[in-house]
Amino acid sequence: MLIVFERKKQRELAGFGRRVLGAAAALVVATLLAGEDAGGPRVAMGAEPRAAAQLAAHPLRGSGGEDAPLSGACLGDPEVVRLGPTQSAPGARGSMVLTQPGSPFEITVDRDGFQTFHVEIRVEQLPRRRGAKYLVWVAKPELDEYKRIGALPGENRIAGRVAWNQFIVFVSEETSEDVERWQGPIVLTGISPSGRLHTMAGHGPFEDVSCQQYY
Amino acid sequence: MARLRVAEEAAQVRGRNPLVPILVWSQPRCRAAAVLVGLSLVMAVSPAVAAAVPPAVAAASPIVVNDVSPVAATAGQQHSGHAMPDSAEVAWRMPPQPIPMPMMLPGLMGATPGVTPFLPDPGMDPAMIREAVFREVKEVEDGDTLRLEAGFVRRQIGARTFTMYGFNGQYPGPLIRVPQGAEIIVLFTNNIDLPTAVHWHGVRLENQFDGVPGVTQDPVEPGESFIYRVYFRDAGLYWYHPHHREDIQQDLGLYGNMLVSASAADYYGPANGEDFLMLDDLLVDEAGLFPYGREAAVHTLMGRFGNQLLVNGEPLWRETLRRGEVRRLYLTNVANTRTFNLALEGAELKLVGADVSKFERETFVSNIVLAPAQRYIVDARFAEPGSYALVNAIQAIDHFNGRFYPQTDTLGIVTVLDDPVAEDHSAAFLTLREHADVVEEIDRYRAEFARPVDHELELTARVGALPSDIVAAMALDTLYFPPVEWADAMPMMNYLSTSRNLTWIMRDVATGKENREIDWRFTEGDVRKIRIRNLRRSFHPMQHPIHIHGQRFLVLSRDGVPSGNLAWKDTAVIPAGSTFDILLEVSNPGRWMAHCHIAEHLEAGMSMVFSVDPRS
Repeated sequence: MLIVFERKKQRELAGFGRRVLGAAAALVVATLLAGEDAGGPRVAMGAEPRAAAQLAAHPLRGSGGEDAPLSGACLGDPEVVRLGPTQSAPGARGSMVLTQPGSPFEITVDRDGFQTFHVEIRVEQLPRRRGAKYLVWVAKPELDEYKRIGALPGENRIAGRVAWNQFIVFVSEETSEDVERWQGPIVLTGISPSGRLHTMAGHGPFEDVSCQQYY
Repeated sequence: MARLRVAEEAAQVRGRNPLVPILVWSQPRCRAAAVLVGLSLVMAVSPAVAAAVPPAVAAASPIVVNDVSPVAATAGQQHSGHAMPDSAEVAWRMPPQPIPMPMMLPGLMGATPGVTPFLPDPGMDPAMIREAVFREVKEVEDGDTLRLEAGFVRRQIGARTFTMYGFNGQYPGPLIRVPQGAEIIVLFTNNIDLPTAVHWHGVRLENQFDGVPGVTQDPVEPGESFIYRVYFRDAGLYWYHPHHREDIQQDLGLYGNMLVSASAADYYGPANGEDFLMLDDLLVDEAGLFPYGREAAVHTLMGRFGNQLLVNGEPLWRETLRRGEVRRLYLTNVANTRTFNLALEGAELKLVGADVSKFERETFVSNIVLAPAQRYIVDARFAEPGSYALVNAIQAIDHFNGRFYPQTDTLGIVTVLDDPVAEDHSAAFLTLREHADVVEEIDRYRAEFARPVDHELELTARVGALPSDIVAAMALDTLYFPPVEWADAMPMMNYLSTSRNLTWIMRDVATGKENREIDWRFTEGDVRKIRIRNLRRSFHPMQHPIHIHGQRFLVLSRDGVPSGNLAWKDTAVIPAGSTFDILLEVSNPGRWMAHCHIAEHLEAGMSMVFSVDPRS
C-alpha cells in the first residue's frame, strides 16, 4: 500500500504524464498548422531531427543483448524520441530509440496484442551531483503500472523491453540504486511515440492554455 | 463556408476560444483543424454517442464469441438517411462501424466512392444456387489431373445466407495433398461473373502457370477454361487463389490449401492429428454483404477489414480431442488485409514451419502473428481436459477518441475429453528439434548474408483525387501510426478511398521508378540482397505483406536486428516505419510479380515485375 506522500507524488506524476502526452500532441498540431504543405501532408516531428542527430553522434553498440541492432547495421528510420529536462536538471539531454525485438514472426506482439519494443535510452549532461545515481523507468501514463529499466551506467545508455500501448519514460535521481520505486527528483522525461495518438479536438491550439510549456 | 460555420458552432458549444475564426478554409491543415473541431460538435450534440464511447473502449478485454449477429453487426450503423435506398440493385451505404463513433466527417455526409457498387450477380435467386459444402480432401499423385471450377455458391454463415463464390462448390476450396516433386494438371473453368485466374501461392512452378493476368497469362473470361501444370518443388503449406480482382474474388471464398508432403517420414515431429485453418474475415451489415467496387477497388486506404471473422469459412471452428493430444495446425491467412494475432488459451504451442520450409529450430511460442498470405505450421499440445479457445487478440485504435482498446474474438473452441490419447507424443513435443536439413540448405547462403545491398525498395503512397476533407483530416489523424493496423480505425475514410484516388507505391530507390515501371533483371542462380523500407513519413504509413512470386527468400534482419531462426519464405510483412533486409534466392526463370498482399493495395498499384533469365 502506498503511503499518502507517495499517492500525492503518483497523482502529480500521473498528471504530468498526461500533460506531456497533451503537450506532444499540441506541439505537433502547432507545427502542422504553422507550416506550409508543398508536397502533400507531412507529419513534421520537431523533436525528431535533434534526436536523430544525437543518434548519429552515438553509433549503436548493441548494448541490449541479442534483441539489439547489430553494430553498424542498417536501422532504417528508427523511431527516436527526445527526452526533455525538468527543472531539476535543465541542462540534461536524452533520447529513446525504439526498435522491434527479435521474434520468429516479423511483428512482435504479445498474446494480448501489445506491441513489444526494444528501447534504448541515452542521456547526456546529467548533473553530476555527489553520490547521485540515475535510474531509468517506464510507466503507463496513469502510473498504475511501472517498470524499472535499470541504473544508468557510466556510458549513460541502457536498454530494455516494453510492451505497453502508451508509456512515459523518465530518469530519476536517487541516492541509491537499490530502490524499487523512484523517490528522488525526475530529471528527464519523454513519451512513447504512441503518445501522439490523441484526440485533437479540444487540445493544444484549440485550448486557451498551451501545453507547450510542459515540453 | 457552411462547414466552417459548423466548426465555429462546435467551438462555441465547447465554450472554448478557438483559432478556427482565423483559419483560412483554403489551407488544408486549417480544414483539418476545422473538421476535427466539427467532430467535437458531433460528440457534443450526440450525448448518446459521447456517453457510449468511454465504456465501450474502456471495457477490459471483452471476449466476443465470433458469430454473425444482426445486432452486433449493425450496432452503430443505422445510416439509412445517408445512404442510397436498398433495392434489388446494389447500392452504396455507409460502412459498418467497429465502435460507436461519429458517422462521417463533417462535409462528407452522404459521400460515396466514385465507382459502381458490385456484388456477385444480385439478380440471382439464392435458392437456385447450389449450397456450398465443406471442402473435400483431394489426394493427388504425380501426373494426376484435377478439375477446378470457380462458381457461384450459396453460403450459410451463422443465421444468414449469402451469394458468394467457391471452388468446386466448396468452402474453402478442395484441400490438395500432393507429394513433393509431383507435377499435376489442373483443368480450370471460370463460371463466375468476372474474369479470373488461379495463382498457386508460394509454389515455385513454371512461370507460364503462375496465374497472374497481365504478366503470365490473359485473364480467364467467364465461361472459359485454362489448363495449369503445377510442379511442387518444395515441401510445405501453400494456397491457391485468384490473382485478378482478388479484393472481390478471394474475399468471396475463392481460396484453398495445398499441402506438399516431404518424402521423409519424420520431416515433422510426431502428432496425433492435424487441422487446416484458413483465417478470413467478411464485411457484412444488415443488408448483407457490403458492396465492392466494380470498376475499381474501394477500401484502398487500409484494405477491406471484415467485421465477421471466419475460420474455414465458418464463424466458429470446433474440434474435439483427447487428453494429451498433440495436434498439428496448418495456418493460412487468406484475409484481404487483416493481420491475425492468434493464441490458443491454455495450450502449449510449438512453432515448426513457415511459408516454404521448416524453421532452423523449433521454438515454443505464446501467440502466432500471421499477415495476409502468410502460413505457419504449429504443433499444439492439449495436456488437460477442458475447453481451449482459439482467439484473435489485438489492441485496436480508436482514432476519433485517441485511444487504444482491446479487442478479442473467439475463433474456435477445442474440447478436450478426459480420455487419454492412445499414443502419447508429449516427450517428442517437449523436445525442440533442430532441423539439420534446413540449416544445411541455408548454410550455402550464409556467406551472402553480409553482401552489400543489391536493390532497395521504398514503400509509400500517393494521394490522387481523394476528397480533400479526408486528406486534411488524415494529416492530423495519423500524427501517430502504429507499426501494424490490426483493425479498421477509420472505416468511413477507408471506404471512400479507391484505386483511382489513391496509389500505393513500391519505389526503386536507385532509379526512382515505381511499381510496374521497375525492371529488375536477374539470372537464374543469382543471390541478391534486397532492402525494403516501409517509409515512416507517407500519407498513411501501414504494414505491407510483400509477396515475391516464383522464388523464395530469407528475412535476414528487421531494423538491423538479425533474424536468429530462419525459414524460407515467400511473404514477409513489413511494419510501418521498419526496414527489412531479405536474401532472394533467384531460382526460377520467367517474369514474376512482387507485390503487397493486401488485396486493395495491390489493386491500387502496389506491384512490380522482375525478370529471371535462365542460366546458359
